[in-house]
Amino acid sequence: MKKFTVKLLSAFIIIVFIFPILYTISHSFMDGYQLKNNEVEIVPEIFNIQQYYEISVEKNEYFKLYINSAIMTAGVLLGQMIVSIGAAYYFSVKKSRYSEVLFLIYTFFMLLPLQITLIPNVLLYNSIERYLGLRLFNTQFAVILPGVFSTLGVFFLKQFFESMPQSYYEIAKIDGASDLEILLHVVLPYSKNAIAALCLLIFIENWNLIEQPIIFLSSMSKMPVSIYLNTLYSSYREIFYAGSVLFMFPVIYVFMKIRDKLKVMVLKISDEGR
Amino acid sequence: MVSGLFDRILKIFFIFLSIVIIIGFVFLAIRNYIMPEVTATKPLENSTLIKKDYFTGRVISRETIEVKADRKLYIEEINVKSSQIVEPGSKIITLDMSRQSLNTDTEAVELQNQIKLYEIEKLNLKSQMNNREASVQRALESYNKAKEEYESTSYLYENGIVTKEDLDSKNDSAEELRKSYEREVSSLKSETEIYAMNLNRIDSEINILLGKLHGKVNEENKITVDSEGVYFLSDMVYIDYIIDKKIVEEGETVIRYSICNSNSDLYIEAYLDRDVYDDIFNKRYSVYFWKNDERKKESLNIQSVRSFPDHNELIFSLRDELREKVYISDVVRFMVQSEENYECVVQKTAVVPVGEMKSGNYCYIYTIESEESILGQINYLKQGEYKILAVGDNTVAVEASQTNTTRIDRNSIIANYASAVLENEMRVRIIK
Amino acid sequence: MAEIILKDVTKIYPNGFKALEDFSLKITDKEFLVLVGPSGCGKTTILRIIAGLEEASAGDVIIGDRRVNDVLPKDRNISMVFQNYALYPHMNVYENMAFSLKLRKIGKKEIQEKILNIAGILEIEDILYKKPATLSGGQKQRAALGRAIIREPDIFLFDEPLSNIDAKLRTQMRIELINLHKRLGTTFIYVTHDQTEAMTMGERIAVMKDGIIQQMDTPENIYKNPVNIFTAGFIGSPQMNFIKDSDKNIIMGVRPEKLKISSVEPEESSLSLDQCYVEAVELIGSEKLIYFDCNGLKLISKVPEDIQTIKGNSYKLYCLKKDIHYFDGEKGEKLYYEKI
Repeated sequence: MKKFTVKLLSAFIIIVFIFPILYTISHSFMDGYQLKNNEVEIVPEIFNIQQYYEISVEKNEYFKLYINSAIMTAGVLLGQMIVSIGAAYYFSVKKSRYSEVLFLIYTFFMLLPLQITLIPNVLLYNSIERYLGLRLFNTQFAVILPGVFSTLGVFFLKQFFESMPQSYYEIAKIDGASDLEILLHVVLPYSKNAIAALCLLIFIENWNLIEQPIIFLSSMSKMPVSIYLNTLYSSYREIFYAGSVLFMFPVIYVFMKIRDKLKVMVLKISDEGR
Repeated sequence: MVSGLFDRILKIFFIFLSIVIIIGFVFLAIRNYIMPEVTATKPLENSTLIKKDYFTGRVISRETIEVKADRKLYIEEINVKSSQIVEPGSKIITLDMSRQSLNTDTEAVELQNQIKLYEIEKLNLKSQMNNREASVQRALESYNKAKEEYESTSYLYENGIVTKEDLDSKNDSAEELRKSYEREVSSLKSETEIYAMNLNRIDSEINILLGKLHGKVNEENKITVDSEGVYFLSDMVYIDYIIDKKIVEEGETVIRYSICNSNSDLYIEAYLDRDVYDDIFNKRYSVYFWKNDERKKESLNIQSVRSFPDHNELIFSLRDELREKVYISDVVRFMVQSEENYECVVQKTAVVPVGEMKSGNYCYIYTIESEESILGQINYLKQGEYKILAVGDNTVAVEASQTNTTRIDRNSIIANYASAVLENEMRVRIIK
Repeated sequence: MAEIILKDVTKIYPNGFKALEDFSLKITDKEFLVLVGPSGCGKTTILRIIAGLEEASAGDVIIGDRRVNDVLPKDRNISMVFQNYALYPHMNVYENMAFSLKLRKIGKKEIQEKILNIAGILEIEDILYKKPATLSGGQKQRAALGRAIIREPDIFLFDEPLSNIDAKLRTQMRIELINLHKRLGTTFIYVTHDQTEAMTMGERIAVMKDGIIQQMDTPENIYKNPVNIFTAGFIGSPQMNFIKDSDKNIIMGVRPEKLKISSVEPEESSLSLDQCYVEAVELIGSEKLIYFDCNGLKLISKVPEDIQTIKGNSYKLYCLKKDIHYFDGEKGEKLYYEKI
């Protein structure tokens, strides 16, 4: 009996989560006529790809913004990789009281929600513009930079680096590797899957950014697709669903690919512990 | 089994989405990057334009010689055409001698004989004058001699060598000679007057005779042919008009020609537009001309302009050094250049004329507007219709035509096309 | 020259734990020294201090002729084999062995020569291109050895390398390590908590407890003449039998194989015990271990397997005087004269 209720509950949760996605996908194959008249329908009357045709051939400014999304996400990913790996490595290797305190402060900042950091960011950009003459508003950097220095990556990776058996580190030291060489040849290959998982998290988070672009960007041509979808919904309903599906596509795809690797990583960690 | 199918569907779906994305990017690239390139310029306000108009014309002599038939002529062959330049001595028309009555021109010979007689008389009179002058000269010499003698005698007398009677006699003879000299002089004077009068008389007689002689050829309308009936002229002439029928009645014009290389005034027969004509007539202008195959333009002084319903004539005088260069019936190109101040002047490469690029025609000019859109800053063209006021070397003066509301002002950005055909609302890329 | 001298070395951990205090040790060049002792006795600490992985809080660490306190591990010309092999998991065996040489910028061809050479010695040619996760314990250990050897160090440090290997393979590996030592002729410092291992392998053994060397000598000498009760009890399997004589405050120690069962009292003056009941019998190959209970005192006797006893029966046990070790009741030191 208990098993049954658990199954029922899980089924219910799954349906609640999956339904919007399926709804969007199915609507993306409807043509304009059907959309105008009855949007409540679930299954398209005629399965056609007119929406996709329209969005790719005619209204392809969508893709310009797609590039924007990609640039923003890639920028954050790249920056985060460098910053997080470097910082996490430092924190895990150099164990001094100073570094402990620093890490504590760092963790504290991780807990600060977006709403608190937003206004200080704006003030910071303003002063940079005033004193250094460098205009950050309405550039991709304004959105990328806060994302790069978000502390989730440091925290996550530091824990992971510390979980690596110390002997790898020591044997590498005996072998003659410098700290940097250890990072590159030993630590990073070992942490491949953890880093992949982190990348996935960062990717999903930044692909769907909404608040930062709205606040830091003013011209429509620099917005990511996440914002543009709203415009599409109100003005170009007929390609909105196709646009949404295309927007979801990378996230779902990457997740599906990484899923196996994540499994492997979990197994590996349990294996190492033996 | 189900999961395998599901995976396959998913895979197909993903591939489909990837294709859509790729197509989208490709079309975006096409749309964004493949567009006509233009350069942008600003119009010149209140600038002077050197307006240049071109026209062609033909050089014609003012003076033509018209020859009419003095009797009925039977023409066997017409050897020239009108507007032709004929070398000296070449056949112009050939008469049918079998039917044509010969008419030896004895009168000319008689006139010439008379002229000869007068010439002889002139010579006689001249020799008479010469004789008279010679005798005067002699008298003067005698008198001078006597005077000398008297002077030397008076010297002798003063020195007591000769007597007073000797001196007086010398004085008397000198005096006599002087008087005779004076007589000679005065008679010479009167004879000179008579001589001049005679000369005049004779000359005018000769002139009348000469006139008659020439008139026989020109005004008395005589076609002078040689023994084979060929009529020719001894100058290089330009045939303005030549008869086209074989039988000519008396009094009909046979030929009208101008002598090339003559010093007569030349004029150009050309078809000028009204405003060009006005320019030359009214405004500051410079006119240049050159023959089609020459490179150098020569400036021209126009003496007058005459207007005809279908064409205009410019009468101009040639500087001496150009007289060699310009021949009758030369086709020359002219350029009228005047400087004007216009309110709105644009680059010539910005103007797309409807028809020919000349003043009075309409044209299209494209201004560049820019707009902020999703794709960033885009530039697109706005078409406007304008009227060409004047055409210069590199610039054109325009004004907005009535149907078009956009005015070009100092801040407009105008597209100069470097490639392709432009249209209204077309997206363009500006290159420097 | 790889003589190692630790002079008055003290090691205090950040949390205050004092692992070593004024510790001194001299290891001769080319010897096979085993550091043996219970967990926490400081043997691993010494190893790590020699390696350079830990810094001595005080004292000198001298390798060869130079003081190496401030020298990095990579410059001390040492190699280490860990208990968990520490093979880089993302590289195969070949790459693991090549790693240190690549860091030294040695040419590919030379690296290949060396690796193939050592692979031949250790018989690991067939696993050269496999990743550690696919190897068995023994293979991994050999690979780790290979990686250690290829560096051609002056000193090999072993940190309980055979603990994770099954018993049968362990014996074989011990022999191989001994042969390797003879072949390479370099200093081996071997740390283990297994006294059997220590006894079989070391030329010299240092028995340690609480950061102090209890006794350092050849295995035979330590076995025959343990200097204190700890050493006596630590070395020898099964453990030495201890009989406390509370009157004289002496503890007597008798090795199980010297504890004989008899019904007849021997001639020489010896220790004898009555009323010893057999609790259990354990057959270990050609010998038997018989567990006795003598009036509450638990004793073990090792006898040839043909000796028959009956469980529950009582027997008399004796041992020769010369086989009795006397220790001070309080301090545990060996007493060299009989105190009766």
